[in-house]
Amino acid sequence: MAEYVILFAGPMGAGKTTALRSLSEIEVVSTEAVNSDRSRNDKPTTTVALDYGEIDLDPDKVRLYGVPGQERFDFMWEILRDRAMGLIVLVNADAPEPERHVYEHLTAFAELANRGGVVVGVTRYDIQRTDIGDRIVATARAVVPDRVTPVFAVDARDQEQMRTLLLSLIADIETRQALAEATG
Amino acid sequence: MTTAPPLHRDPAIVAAAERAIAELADRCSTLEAAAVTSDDGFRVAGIHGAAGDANRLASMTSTTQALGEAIIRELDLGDASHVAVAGTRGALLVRRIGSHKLVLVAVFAPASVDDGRIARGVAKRLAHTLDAVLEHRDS
Ligand SMILES: Nc1nc2c(ncn2[C@@H]2O[C@H](COP(=O)(O)OP(=O)(O)OP(=O)(O)O)[C@@H](O)[C@H]2O)c(=O)[nH]1
Ligand SMILES: [Mg+2]
Repeated sequence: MAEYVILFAGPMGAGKTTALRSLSEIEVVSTEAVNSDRSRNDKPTTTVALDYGEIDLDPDKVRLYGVPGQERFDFMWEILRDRAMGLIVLVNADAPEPERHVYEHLTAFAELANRGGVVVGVTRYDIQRTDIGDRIVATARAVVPDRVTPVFAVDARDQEQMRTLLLSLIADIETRQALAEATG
Repeated sequence: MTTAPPLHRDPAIVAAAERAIAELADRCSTLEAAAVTSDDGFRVAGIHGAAGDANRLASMTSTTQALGEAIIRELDLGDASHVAVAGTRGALLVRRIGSHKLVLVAVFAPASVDDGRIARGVAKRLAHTLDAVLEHRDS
């Protein structure tokens, strides 16, 4: 049995809180506040501290943390990234330049992406179908050149899709641990 | 219906918050920084000393308040009152302003035994003022 600590990062409105709620088997600890800046992102609430949830992927136990997407809260990124073992970067396809968000958030969490595992999930594809797949793959390769970063199109509201994303991240972490043991 | 401006850009709310901060500064000689922020961390009004960035203090205030309320909720401890964080040189207090989507933060260096009581009084009076402002608007 292993324990994993997984971090959800990505811009405001990407669906970090939604994804964590889709996945968690315990009631999520959330810190939503009324969103004052509806011009930036027209949703009622935004995360100001963290989200916390848990899921049992027998035999593994996974702790899920979500960070606030707004850079104003980047001190929480620093607090949470050190204890994490894997990173899920979510970006919403209906943002103006989704690959720029991939770049910024992968860069902010590059140490974790290199140390642990990383996957990218592109949400809200049903709202805005784009041809950004290649650009996102290229961006991920530029920030994390030494490894392959899987990129998925997912709906953060869909438990099955989020499970697939999470399982592929955990497989990635395990593969890298096995490789490190074999060569170390 | 016209949509109200966000709390941190609402002139009546900003003015009331400024008066509350001035009262706090007046009554606490060791007040190093203080602010009223929205629940999502926008600064409504405040004063700050040489140390730190005012917007960052506002963000951290909303984070602290939200975490405090989440923990009180998790442990089923009733209504949240305030969060206190103390260091060797000073302390900070964070508390909700009545039932408004607003939070008061006060940083005292050094801290003294009266800080909490004074901050509580200031927050309470500001809450009443805002109740009146908003009630007046609804009618
Ligand atoms: N149509 C559609 N909506 C989605 C999809 N994924 C997420 N959403 C919606 O997008 C919104 C995402 O909001 P949140 O989960 O609060 O986003 P967040 O990343 O936690 O944002 P911050 O906490 O503000 O940084 C929610 O309203 C979701 O229901 C998707 O694939 N399709
Ligand atoms: Mg969120």
